[in-house]
Amino acid sequence: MLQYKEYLRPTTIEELFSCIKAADKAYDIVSGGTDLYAKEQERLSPMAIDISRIPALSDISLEDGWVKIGANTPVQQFIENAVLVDQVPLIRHAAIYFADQQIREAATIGGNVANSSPTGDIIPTLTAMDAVIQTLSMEDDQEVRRQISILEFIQGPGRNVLKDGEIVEAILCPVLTGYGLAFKKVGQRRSLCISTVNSAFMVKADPAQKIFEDVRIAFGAIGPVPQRVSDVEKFLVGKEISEEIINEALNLIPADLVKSRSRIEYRRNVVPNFVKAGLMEALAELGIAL
Amino acid sequence: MTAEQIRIEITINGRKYSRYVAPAMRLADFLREDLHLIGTKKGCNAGECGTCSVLIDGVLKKSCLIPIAQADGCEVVTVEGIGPKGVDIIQRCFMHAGAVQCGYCTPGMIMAAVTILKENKYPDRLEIRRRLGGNICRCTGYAKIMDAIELARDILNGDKDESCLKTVIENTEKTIGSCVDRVDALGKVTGALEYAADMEMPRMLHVFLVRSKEVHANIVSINYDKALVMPGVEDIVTAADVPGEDGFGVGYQDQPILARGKVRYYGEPVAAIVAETLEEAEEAAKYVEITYEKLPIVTTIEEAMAGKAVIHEAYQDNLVSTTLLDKGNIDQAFAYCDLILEQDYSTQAVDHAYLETEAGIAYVDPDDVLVVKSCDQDISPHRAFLARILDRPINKVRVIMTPVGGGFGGKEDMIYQGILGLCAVRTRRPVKLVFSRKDSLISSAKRHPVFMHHKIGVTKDGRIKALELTLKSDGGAYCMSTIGTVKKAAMLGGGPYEIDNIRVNSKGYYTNNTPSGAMRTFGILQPTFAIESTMDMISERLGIDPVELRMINGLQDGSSTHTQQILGSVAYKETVRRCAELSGWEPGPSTVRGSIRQDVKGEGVVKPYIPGREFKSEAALKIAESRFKYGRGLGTSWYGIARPTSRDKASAFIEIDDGGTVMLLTGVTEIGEGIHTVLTQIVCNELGVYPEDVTLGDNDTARSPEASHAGASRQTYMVGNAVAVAAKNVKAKFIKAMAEYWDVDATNIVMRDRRVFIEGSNRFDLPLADALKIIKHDRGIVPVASGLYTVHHGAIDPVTGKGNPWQAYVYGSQVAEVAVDTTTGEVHVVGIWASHDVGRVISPQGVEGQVHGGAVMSMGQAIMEDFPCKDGVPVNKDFAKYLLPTCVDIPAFHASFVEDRGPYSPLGAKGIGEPAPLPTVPAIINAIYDAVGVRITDLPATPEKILNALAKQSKY
Repeated sequence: MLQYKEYLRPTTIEELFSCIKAADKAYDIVSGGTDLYAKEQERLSPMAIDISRIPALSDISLEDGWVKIGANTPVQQFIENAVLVDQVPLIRHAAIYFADQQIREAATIGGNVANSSPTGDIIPTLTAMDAVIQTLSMEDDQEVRRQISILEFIQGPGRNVLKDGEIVEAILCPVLTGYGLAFKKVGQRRSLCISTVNSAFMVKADPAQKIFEDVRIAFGAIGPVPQRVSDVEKFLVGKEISEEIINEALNLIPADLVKSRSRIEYRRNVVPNFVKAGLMEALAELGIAL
Repeated sequence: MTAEQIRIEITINGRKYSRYVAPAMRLADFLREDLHLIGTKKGCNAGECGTCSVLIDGVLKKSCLIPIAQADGCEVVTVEGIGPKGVDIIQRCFMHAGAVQCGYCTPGMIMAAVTILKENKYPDRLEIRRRLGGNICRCTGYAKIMDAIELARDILNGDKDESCLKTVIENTEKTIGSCVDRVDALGKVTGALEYAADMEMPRMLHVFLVRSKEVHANIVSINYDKALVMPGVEDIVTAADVPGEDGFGVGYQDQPILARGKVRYYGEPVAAIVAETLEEAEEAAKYVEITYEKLPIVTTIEEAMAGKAVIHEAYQDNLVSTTLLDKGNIDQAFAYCDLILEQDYSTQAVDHAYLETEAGIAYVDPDDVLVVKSCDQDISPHRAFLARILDRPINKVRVIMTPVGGGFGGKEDMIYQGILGLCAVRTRRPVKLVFSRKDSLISSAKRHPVFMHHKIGVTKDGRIKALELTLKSDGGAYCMSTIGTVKKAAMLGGGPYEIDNIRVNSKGYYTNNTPSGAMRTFGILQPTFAIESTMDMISERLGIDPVELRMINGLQDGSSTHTQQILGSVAYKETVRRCAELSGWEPGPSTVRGSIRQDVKGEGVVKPYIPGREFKSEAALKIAESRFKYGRGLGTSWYGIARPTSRDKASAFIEIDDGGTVMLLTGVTEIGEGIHTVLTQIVCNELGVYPEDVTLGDNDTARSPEASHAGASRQTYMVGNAVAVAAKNVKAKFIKAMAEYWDVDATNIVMRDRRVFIEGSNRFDLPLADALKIIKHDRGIVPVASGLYTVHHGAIDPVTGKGNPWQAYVYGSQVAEVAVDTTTGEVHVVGIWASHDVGRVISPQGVEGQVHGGAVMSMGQAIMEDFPCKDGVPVNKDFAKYLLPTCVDIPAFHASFVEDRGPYSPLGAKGIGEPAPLPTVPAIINAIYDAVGVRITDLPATPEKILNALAKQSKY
């Protein structure tokens, strides 16, 4: 059975928007296709617009302390591409947990973001980094771009602020140096696995390695949208680094952080364990052993 | 930018193709349907299994997820394009290392192996594990696949010589017990072997099934007038079109081929659309209108017992069957026990999850014989069912088994062959039906969920005095194998122990859940989990080492079983002893001593799999690893070989053929376990030929004598012995003819190493080929013979269960070591040590492969697999949600085999297929307890159950 009755494959931004403009029925934007082609046909739109052949959407560039990552960048590139490993190392920590390598070779970061699944494994890393989603649309033959923070971009399971005719063009990530990083994930197995809880950690210490200078903790899969644990982050910043202070911070995890309606007790048990484990491992990456 | 077909240029296996295609087509479909490159399989169509893995511009990807439009201009390499001379070193290593069983995952695995070794000349085992993480194998347990890749790595790097791939057999009389390459591996590693879904015939029609979205409902009307006039539609059939007496099922034939009058489970087929293309059939299905009248849904055994609704008119109490055992006097015995334990257990439904979904082709041949070809585990009764259902003489139905991509009991029931037969008879054209993964998950039989209660009494020195065992099995909507599993669970469920006083009440019930049926161990995995967990609790309560506890209570020579059968030679305690020795078991009671025991984290285990190990800092890894708690557990088991309480039988024809080759015909059922290789070895041993000299006939009701099904771990025992008898018979004839020709005493003539000779004589010594020529062409004798093997299993008494249900029993013990992640509750099984009595090892790689694969299948049941129904509707309908163990989840394996030959088996061999997975579940569950003190009594032991229990522990 064909996934789509109609399948368009523009090769330029101009062609893309003329396809979109001419569309007389609902359509899905296909990048890597790994989510859409895994679904049953009745859950898809009748038409596909494949953006994988638009070179402009595959660009990776560095400007003013930000990395701009084209939507079509395959997830595996965060493990293999030297620029990405160097500039956004946190995503590598998540990418290695993402599906399996064969899926990562096809699945793209733009797809992961636009799909806006609560369990998307890249999303907590973008949330921790305060990444920005750059969208593109065409209004009156003019390219219109919006830059939206990841937390604003994702509105719910599979829901985001993309308007009709608007696509994810690129992900903008700040280059953040000097951080210890960690990613924690649990599902029912360890390869090709949907997250029950996933989380990203970034920790920066003062030059003497004594004081928390910056702490970023982001969770996914525990509610409809990704979340930062800002109460814990704020508490720790400025404090002296110790296991005790981390333990103390665990008490500040909001009781309603877990918003999922299933496996609530389990997720509530995992969250503090991950906060502690993630922070300890991130500190260890900085050479700080507690 | 066209909406319709587009022209693509694509290079496949070095050859350029220019084709018009629908751009949305999956690359996997293009390869299979347009180019008939059937080595690329479709196990899930959702990127979850890896049977379709191919190289695209040098990058390994899953071709079911790739729109053909994205492969335009690319260079694709499939399994058919591997190796310059047809069979690459990697493929030969797979054949040699025993990495191939059913073969359905093999092409994808080969592609992954090629990629791993292309990108890194020296991958270590961890990297191989990681890179195979997207390719599922349900048979092998992955160990031998990794061995094969390591072997290929070493040969390609020159660290080992290619000559090591040659099979070494000292002489043909030692073929049994030697490592022989699988006789059917070549077609599997090259992808050339056609499974049912790969087959095509001219003028073939396609069948699409309209399945019920109701769980329990009367069918008020079916109106398919609109669908019938849709383009391409040839025919639509429903239960009303069945000409004969409907009904199939292994134990009791209560299931119609298409729902009749009512639907009893979600997904039950109601109508079959037959059309020129599958797309047309599927499109037409949207226009079939079915009106239902909803009935109350029976979702649990309690609801079945309470009579919430009657599911089958003939069974007003929803009770399928009962088996009782009563030995000694348990009421008296409990009175003098020092400790009485009571415990409930429950197990979940799981799927066989063979990578090949159900598929078949049917047609009526020129002689008006209906031919049904499918991946069928039990062709003989299916022929009889088809003849009755379709009202045809039995010899006007021919059932052929196609290569089976994994069975495990799931292909014993005729869940779609009746529909295929009916459609072929009606349309007089070939018809084909292939299940999607969803079809397979929602409509094939599951392992029975079983609810068990133990009341067990022991004396303080550890002796079990009394056991009361209650089992309730959820049989689902149709009987299938429930009668058999209920009975077997009663006979074996008390465990491998000599218990003077035992009472068992085993019952099976109808519910509206997905039907339960035969699955590897046939009802014994569940009670084994329970009794071995109870033994662990007794160990803790009495302070007796679990190994010692088995020594105190275990079956031994002359023991009386739960059915009061007096056993002959019993190797049970030898398996326990060996297993303890192999694992370096540190004695001590099961008192959560994981943190203090010295035998964990040794050299025989793998490290828990942590993604990103390669780039994380040592310090971070150390922290991650500090959260694991280790523990070890023991599980033991027993099993009866071949069909119990019946005259099981198997037969074979054999001919010594031209060129000194041998033709063997038998209705043997090769479902991946390697029985073809076993039979070949038996023939070689007896007739002095080499494996490549033997031709094995197909499993075909019109061509081969009956050997019955793959199940009950019976094939080596039953078919092996039938073949051994046939080989002895043909040898006797041949030698007699040679003796007459040479005018010598027949007793001195030997057949060995492709020669016929008298030891020490130059005069009487001929190559087998020449001798055959003389016998056949000069003397006019065609050396043919048959062989038959029958067992004499006795019935059991309906009240006491007394009887001799089997003539051969096997025993097995396993130790599991686990690492429990205390942050998440995840269980990593890091080591399995197994010792099994198999009677006699015929194929060493084969028995190891069964142990690895069986243990991993049980590991899935123990910690991750689950097929729940919510109000009768299956929750996990694809491989993204129904999770199977992957390569990164598996332990290191160590196995040792006990060869206590079966006294009634001419070969001495018994069996291993189902015994292998039995001890694993309790070994893992007991190990989890040892590690963290969490006792899981309802399977599976998910991270959720374990962590939530740990959280409660820390609160108190």
